[in-house]
Amino acid sequence: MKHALIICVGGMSSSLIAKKVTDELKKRGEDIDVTALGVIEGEQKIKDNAFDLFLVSPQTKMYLKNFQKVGDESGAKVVPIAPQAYIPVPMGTAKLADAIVKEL
Amino acid sequence: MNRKEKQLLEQLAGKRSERMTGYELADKLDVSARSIRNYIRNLEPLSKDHGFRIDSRPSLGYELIIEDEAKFAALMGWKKKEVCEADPAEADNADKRRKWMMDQMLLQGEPLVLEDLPELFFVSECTIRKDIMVLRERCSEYGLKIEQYLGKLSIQGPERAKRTMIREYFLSDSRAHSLHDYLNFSPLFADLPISMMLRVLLEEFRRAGLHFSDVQIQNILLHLALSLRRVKEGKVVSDKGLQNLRIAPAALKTAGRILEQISRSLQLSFPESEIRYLALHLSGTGQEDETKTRIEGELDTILAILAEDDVLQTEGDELLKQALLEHLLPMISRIQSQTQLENPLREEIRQQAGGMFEITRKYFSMMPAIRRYSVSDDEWAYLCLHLQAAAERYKKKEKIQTLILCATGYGSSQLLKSRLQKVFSEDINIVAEAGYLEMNDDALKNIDLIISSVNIGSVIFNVPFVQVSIFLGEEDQKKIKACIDSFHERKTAVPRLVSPNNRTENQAVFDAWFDKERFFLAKEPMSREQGIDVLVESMANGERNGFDDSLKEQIAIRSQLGCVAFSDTIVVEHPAIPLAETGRFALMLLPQKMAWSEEFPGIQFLFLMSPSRLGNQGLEKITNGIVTLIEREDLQKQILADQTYETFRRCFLECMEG
Repeated sequence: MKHALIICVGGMSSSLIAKKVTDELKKRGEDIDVTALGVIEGEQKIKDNAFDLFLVSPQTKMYLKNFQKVGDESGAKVVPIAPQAYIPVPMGTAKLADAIVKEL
Repeated sequence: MNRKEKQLLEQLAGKRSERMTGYELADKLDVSARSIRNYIRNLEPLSKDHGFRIDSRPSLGYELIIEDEAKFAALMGWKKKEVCEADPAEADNADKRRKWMMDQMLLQGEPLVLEDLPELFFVSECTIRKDIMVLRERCSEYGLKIEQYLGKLSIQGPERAKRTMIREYFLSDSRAHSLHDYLNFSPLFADLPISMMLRVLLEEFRRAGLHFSDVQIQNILLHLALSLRRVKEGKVVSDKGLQNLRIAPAALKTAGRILEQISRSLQLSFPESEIRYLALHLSGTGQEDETKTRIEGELDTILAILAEDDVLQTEGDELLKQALLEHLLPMISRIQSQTQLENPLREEIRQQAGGMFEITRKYFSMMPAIRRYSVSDDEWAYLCLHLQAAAERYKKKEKIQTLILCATGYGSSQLLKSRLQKVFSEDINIVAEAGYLEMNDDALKNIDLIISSVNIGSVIFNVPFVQVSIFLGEEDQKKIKACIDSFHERKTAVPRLVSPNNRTENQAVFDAWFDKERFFLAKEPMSREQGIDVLVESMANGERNGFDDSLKEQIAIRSQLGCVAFSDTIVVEHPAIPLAETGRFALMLLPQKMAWSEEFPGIQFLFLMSPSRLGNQGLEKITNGIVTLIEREDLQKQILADQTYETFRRCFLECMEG
C-alpha cells in the first residue's frame, strides 16, 4: 500500500478531500491511502520522508517552495495540487485521484 | 569559594591576557550566564587577599589579572609547577619550559621557531635540544612526532593521538569525558577530588607503562571514586572472593601506589582489600578477546532492545557501549567469583536515578552472561551509573535550539537571553542572537524556536516563534512554557496515541481544542461577519496584540483561496497561515440558519479553526471528526435540537471515534 499526504493550513479542508479521494481511489482498485495534516505537522513529515507522496493544497502554495526544499533534503516527493483538483465535488476528486496515481 | 567558582578561575587562568565572555564561561562551566555573574561577584571580596582581580568590561567579557602569582596559586591549591606560564621568561625550570613548548605546539597549534627558543627562556641551545629530545620521547608514546622544518618545530600525527595527548598532558580539558564529567558534576560525587584522582591514575599508569583507553580510564576512575567513597564512610569491602583470583603482581603494585598517593593527599587509609579490588580492575581490563567479543555481542543486543523499547536511545553511542563493555568484563568475573562489593551509593542511585535502576536491572538481567548468576543490587547500581551518565548526556542534546531575535541583535536580546537562561536553562539552549534584518534561511538552520522581542507579525518564518517582552514577565514565561511543552509532547506523541483507552485520548484532544467559553448559540439570525467577529474575539485571549485583526485578515485571504463551506450546513473558517500561540476551535450554532454566501444560504455550524504556529497535536483528530459530522446528519440534528455544549461534546466525540 502506498501513502500520500495532503497538506493544508490546519488539515481541515484537506481532511475532507483526503477522505473523498481515498474513497475514489478505492473504487478504482488503487491501493493508496491518503491522509491530511496541517502545515506544521506536514513539514515534519516531509523532513522524516514519512509518506510516498506529499501534496500541497492550493491555499498553502506559499509554503510550497520551502516544502520542496525540505523534501529535496530528505528525499521526499512534494508536489502542488492544481486548484481545479482541490474541490470536494466528484470532478475535482477524480482529477486529484488521477494526479496521485500519475505521481505514484 | 565553591567548586564552580574555582573552575571559573581556572578557565580564566588558562586564557591569560585574553578575555572570555560570560557566555563562553557559562558554556564551559555548564551553568547560566547569570550564575557566572554571581560567581564573579562572589569572587570579588576574595580578590584582594589572594593576589588577583577580574577585570570585566561590558560585552567584551572578563579577564583575569594576577597580581601575585604565589598567593593566587595558593588559593587555587596549585602546586607550584602547575601554574601555567603565559610568559616564557617565567618558565624557570625544565618542566615549565617543556610545558610551555607543548602548549604552543599542541594546544595553540603554533610551530616553535627553534632559533628563538634559547633567548626566549634564557637557556643554552644545548638545553633546548635536550628539552626537545625529552618531548620527542613523550610524543612518541602517543604515536606523535616532533618534526623540524625550516627551523620550525611542530607536532605531526593523527588528530586523535593529539587529542589524547592534550587531555593527558594538560589534564585540564576533560569535557569530552562523559563519565568524568558526570563524576565531576553529579551531586553524588560532589565531595570527591575527581581531577586529582585522575591525575594520580594517569601518572601511575605512565610510570607502570600501562596503556588504557580513555574509556577504560574512566571506568577505573569511577571505581576509584566509589572505593574512596566506601573508605570515607568507613565501609570495608570483603575480599573473600578476591583471595582466589589471580591478580597480576604488576597490577597489584600499581594499585597500591595509586591508593597510597591518594591516601597521602587526603589523609585516609585504604584497606588491603581495596587495593586488591582496584588491582582486579587494572588486570581485568586485559581479558581474552574471545570473552570480550561474546560480551560485546550480548551488549549490542541489550542496547538495541533499550533503544527499541524507547527507554534510552543508545543507538550509535560508542562511548556508552565501550564504557559498559569495560565495566561488564570485571563485573562478570566478580559475579562468577561471588565477590561481594558493597556500593556505598546503592540507595541513592536507586532513588535518584529516576527509574534507571529498575531499567538497568530489567534489561541487563536478560544478558546471557549474567542471567545464570544472581546479581546484587550493589552491582546493578554500578551499572546503572553508566546508563544514567548517558541519559544526562542525551538530555543536554535534546534541549530546544533557540534563536533570540530583537531589533538589532544586541542590547535587548542580551538582556532577554540572560533572563531566558535563568528561567529555562533546563529546556532551551540559546544558540544565537540575531537582529530582525539579519534573518535568513542560514540563520535559521537547526533552530527549533525563535523567541522574539519584536513583533514579526506577518513575516513568515518556517520556525515556530514566541513573542515576549524583554522583561520576560509571567505571561511571557507561560507562553514559552507552553511552547516547550508542545515540543516535548511532539516527542512523546507516538506512545500516547497507542494508548489502550481510545476514548480518554479523544476526550483529551477534544478538551484541548474546544472549550465551553468558545461555544456560542446564535439566538437571532446574524451575518457571516458578525459571526466571525464573535468567534475571533473569543480566541484573542493569551495571544499577542493585534492578533484578532490579523486573524480576520487571514480568514479573508483564506476564503478567497478556496471555499471553506464543507457542506450545506457546515463551514470551517480558518486563517491562511497559522497565527496563534495556542491552537483553538470555536463554534457558533445557528439554529436559524446563516446566509453564509449565495451558494450556501443554510449554514448551521460556523466553526472557526485557529491552528498554532508551534504545533498542533491531535488537530487531525478534530478535523476528521468534522468530516464525519458532515456525513452524520442525525448527530447534527441532535446538537441543534439540544443546543448545549455537553450534547455537542458527546456527539462530536462520537464523530471522532469514526
